Amino acid sequence: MNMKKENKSLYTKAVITIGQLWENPIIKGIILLALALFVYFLPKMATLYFQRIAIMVAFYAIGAYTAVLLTTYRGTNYLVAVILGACLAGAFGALLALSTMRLSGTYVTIVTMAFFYVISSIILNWDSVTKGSVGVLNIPAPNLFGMKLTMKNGGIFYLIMFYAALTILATQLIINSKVGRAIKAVRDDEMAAIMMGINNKKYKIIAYTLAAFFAGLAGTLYGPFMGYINNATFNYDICISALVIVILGGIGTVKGAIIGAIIISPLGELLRGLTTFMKGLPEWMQISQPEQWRFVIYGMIMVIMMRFRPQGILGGQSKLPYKMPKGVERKVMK
Amino acid sequence: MALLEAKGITKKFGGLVAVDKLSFEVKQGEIVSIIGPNGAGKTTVFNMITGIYEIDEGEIVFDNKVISNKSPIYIVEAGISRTFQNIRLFKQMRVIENVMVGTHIKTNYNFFDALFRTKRFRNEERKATQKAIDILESIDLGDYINDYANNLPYGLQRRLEIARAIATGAKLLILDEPAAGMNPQESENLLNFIRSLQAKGYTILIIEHDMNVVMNISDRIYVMDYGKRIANGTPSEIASNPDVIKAYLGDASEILEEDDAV
Repeated sequence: MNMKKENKSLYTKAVITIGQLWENPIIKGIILLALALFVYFLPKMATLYFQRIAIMVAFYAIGAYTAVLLTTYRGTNYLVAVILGACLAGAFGALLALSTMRLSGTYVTIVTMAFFYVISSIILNWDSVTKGSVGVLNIPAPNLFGMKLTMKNGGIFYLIMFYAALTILATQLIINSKVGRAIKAVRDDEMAAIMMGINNKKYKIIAYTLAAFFAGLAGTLYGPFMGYINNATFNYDICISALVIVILGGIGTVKGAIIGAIIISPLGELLRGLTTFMKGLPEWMQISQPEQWRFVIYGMIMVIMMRFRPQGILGGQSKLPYKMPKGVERKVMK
Repeated sequence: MALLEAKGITKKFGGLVAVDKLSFEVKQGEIVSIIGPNGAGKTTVFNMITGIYEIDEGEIVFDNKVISNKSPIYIVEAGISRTFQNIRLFKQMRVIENVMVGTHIKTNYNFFDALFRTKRFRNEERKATQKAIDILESIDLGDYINDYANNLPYGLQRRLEIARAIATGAKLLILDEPAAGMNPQESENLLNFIRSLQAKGYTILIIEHDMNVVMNISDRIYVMDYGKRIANGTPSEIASNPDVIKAYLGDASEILEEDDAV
């Protein structure tokens, strides 16, 4: 009996340790999954990814602020707040899609960049609602049907895993359907897609809305997890991490986003361990924030990937055969 | 009864009249070619038929329905599908996915069917996949279904583009320079392929520069120059038409004048 209890506490401890290492990263990973869907519209140019990732962070911020403000100041039920947060982000996605409808290439990038700055300025300056740079403090732990999910009982970790699974599943279901094919077709060649009878506008709106919805959903996790958010939470640092994850894992694939997030995400935490190591070094080698080394590593990863494997670890063309639905026959068998 | 009929269609770009009161018709089961020197307005005609350009005057009737100035999607649904002068496949998608994009308008389920994998989704998806495989096998692309479109050889990419057009359920296929960039062997294969499509009941409208292809395959030919129709008839009639020779090779008197000037 005692033994069992001990095992259980060991297990909980392990879950919490892994959780701490990966939780923040997992949230990032979820945004990136959302991004994987969004990336379908990106031209094959890495320079443009960054700006589009920036708008994902804007949607992420919309989701986070909506959920946090509702739960902290209105006492709204956690689930309701999450759904509202994700839906509001989705609505902004649709708006952005409508406003970029007649633009292409670089011009879309300019509008999305502007959108990011508009959202950050609103968060910074709308003091009466967002609390500006002071930020929102004492965000309550998510309360699911009377159960409080905190870091201590590992609940947050399971919640994050659940969201990740949900996002992966939904993304896969959508990609492997008529909707996903239409989105990919519009990305590859819009004119040819129109000539196949595909409503290009409709599918652009769908893609933007979905991407924004999932980014908003990931955002709703951030507040309860950190307990505190302010305008600086949603900055270009997140964009850079996201960009590296996508480039490392593989642009435009869900698998790639997962692998990239698993590899890159704990980096910041691990590098914090460098502090102790650094103390033993001569003074001229000391730096104040060793975790900032991750940006050096990010840079190296990007250069190496672009030189040797621009499609990412799991990106590019799949060698597996196409997965046929059940009941399909080939008359000529090879 | 004509399947496709253009009645005096005109397209102006500012002051330039690209297509000037052009009339032509394509009957059920025919292969009709439109030829003409560069800049004669052939591709503009295709863009007018498929709804990319609005037309300024005239009317296009397909299968007893007026399709001029309708949306491209309406026109695809009516039964016209096209290929492009410079191949426009979905390069990062597999061969079978390319054809399945073609089945898009015939696949009837919505977003939520896909999300919840309903019975309707499974049935429709099975039907679409089966149709794509049947089309690919019927045109000897069955061995390539798992390949990505941009890895196919040039001749097969052309063929895949036609397969994708067929998948929309089109009755009329519009081919924009299908033999462009092909070697003699490839264009010979293409000739046979297009004939086999005709045998299957498709009606085909072609723009082509390769005279060997045009003369061998067409039931009738329309010749355009400066946006106007200058001749029409069977291949043998066109080959001996003085106006056509003039449009392609220039006027004999002009040549003489130039000689005099020198």
